[in-house]
Amino acid sequence: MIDVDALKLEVETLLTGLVGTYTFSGGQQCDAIRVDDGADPYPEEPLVEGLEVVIRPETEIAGQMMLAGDRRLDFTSQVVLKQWQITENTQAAREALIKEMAFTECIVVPRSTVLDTVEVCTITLDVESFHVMHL
Amino acid sequence: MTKATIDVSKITKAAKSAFKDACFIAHRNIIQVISEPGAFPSHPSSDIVDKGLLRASQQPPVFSQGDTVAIFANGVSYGIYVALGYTTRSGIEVEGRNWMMLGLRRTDLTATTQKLLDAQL
Repeated sequence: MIDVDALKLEVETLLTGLVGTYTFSGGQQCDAIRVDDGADPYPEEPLVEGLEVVIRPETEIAGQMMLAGDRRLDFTSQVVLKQWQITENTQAAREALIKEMAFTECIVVPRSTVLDTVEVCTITLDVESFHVMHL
Repeated sequence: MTKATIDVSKITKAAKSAFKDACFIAHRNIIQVISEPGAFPSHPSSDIVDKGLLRASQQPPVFSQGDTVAIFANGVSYGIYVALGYTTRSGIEVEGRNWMMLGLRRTDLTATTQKLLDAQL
């Protein structure tokens, strides 16, 4: 199992000065970085400005059957960068991460004016782990 | 002393030929996935909508590095959004429907190549 808190701290440190802002209905603000582990991190969905960072720990990437009906599930972690400011992009942030972190893949889906989307960069980290599940 | 040798060039040639044939089977599966209802369980009500352009833009595999690597590509401009998904400015997340990965997974290139190679040898 990976240490999610350590991963988040490392990403936060590498992206100092680049991360955008979450603003809640009460006016409270914090850095726009969160861990997506299936649970809602906040009681309400905040307004996001600038660069949002989503850490997806242990995302299932592949699976294969083993003997005796066991199934091996392979996991890795991903850091997703979303640039909500349409005049900006994710370049500085992704360069800051891939310069320092071991990764296997970095995919950028550019902003589309037709679909009115934001630029999203998904960095797949080289921190694979696996579990064996009994069927 | 007795010396035995093996000429692996014929085996290599047969293996490469089997791999190429398997890749063309994968190419057909990839095209089939594009218009297959329910191909993506995460999109139960959202199959790929294609009026033919995505299918027509699916390029046959291109081989390199001595026919040991195959590249599957689709040149249509909106392909990246269909395959990898996107996030709209209003916050809607649309998951990707990577038809090429699914077509390749269904083909199981290693097993298919092995079967074709066995038939040749």
